[in-house]
Amino acid sequence: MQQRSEQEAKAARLRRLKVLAVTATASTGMLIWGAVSGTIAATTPAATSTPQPVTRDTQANSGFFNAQDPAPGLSQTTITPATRTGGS
Amino acid sequence: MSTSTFRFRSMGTDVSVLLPSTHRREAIRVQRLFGDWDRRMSRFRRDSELSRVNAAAGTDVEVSLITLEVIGAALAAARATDGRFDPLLGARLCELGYDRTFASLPANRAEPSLAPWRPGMWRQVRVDGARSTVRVPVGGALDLGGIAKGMAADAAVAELRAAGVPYALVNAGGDLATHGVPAESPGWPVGIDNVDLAGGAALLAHGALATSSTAGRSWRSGGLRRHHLLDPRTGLPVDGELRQVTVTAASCRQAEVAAKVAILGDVADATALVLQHRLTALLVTRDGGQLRIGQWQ
Repeated sequence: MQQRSEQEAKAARLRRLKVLAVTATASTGMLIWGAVSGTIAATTPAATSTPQPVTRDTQANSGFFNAQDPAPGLSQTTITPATRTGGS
Repeated sequence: MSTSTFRFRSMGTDVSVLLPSTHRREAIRVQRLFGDWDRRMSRFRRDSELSRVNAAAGTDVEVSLITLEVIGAALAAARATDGRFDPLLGARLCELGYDRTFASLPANRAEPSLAPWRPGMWRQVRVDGARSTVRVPVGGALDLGGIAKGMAADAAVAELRAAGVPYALVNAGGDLATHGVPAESPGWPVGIDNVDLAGGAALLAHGALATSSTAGRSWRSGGLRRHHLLDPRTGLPVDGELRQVTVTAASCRQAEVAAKVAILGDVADATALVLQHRLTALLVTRDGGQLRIGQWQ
């Protein structure tokens, strides 16, 4: 029950996020990084919470995106890029 | 200890290897690795293992363990994303005009003759690990382009680590993997095309990063602009809310798949995917808006 409430709360947060993104885009033509990313970061699940499945095949899912692997974060830097990357 | 950059072209893209200047010999090993993977897994080489598999659709074809591992990972990614990552889009890309290396692709192609789209055919790919064989269904063809590049980058940094190289970065045209960081550096500063990073670069302390974009690898056919990122649900180039997605993950294969899946959906879908797997991402919308998701500092 508690898990379901958390799922519903998360879904509501994501709906609000989308509205915010669309509104910001429409009004300014450019999303404001700080404000929006702060909202998104706040929805990051706590380390002890159960990951919320997006796909139906969650068993196979855990075999590819291994939640035990620490994914790196990012920060901005003024250091000259050592490499550039575009889309593939 | 100074850092050198070693550049070469392989797997249809520019590859750069950054490592200590004293380890340039190991950079040549990376070039050999990429050349080997390209010979095995290019869909544009008639004699590659992948081309033999695609040409013999409906029958089992023996392949090397490396190719088998990449195909196995691609199918695992397809299962993990419920088919939103689909490695069996090679035939459809050919129908749409991307039937040769991008460098040799004419800017304008004839009106494509598209067969009715059958989504989910990747579920009919059969892999026999004991016999090291692969069979694709008739009418389908594997395209391992992105995930093979990502896994080659992962394999390259693993090889450099095993060889005693203290730090390295391998960037294969948007698929980027790292091992360690240069001495006294907080991470690898990475510039990302089409993104206005106020400081100039994003700092990646460890792991991998991949970018998918609808801006590159495009051509015209039938009067329409086409690009190489297909939506497996429609069999047509992605035409959604997002123009570019950059994702970080522990491995480049994960980052590559996450970026490719995230760009299919809208901002909310991409956000949910990134948060579910505890990744970090930078989204660029069609109108140039930029969103940072996950662990940004």
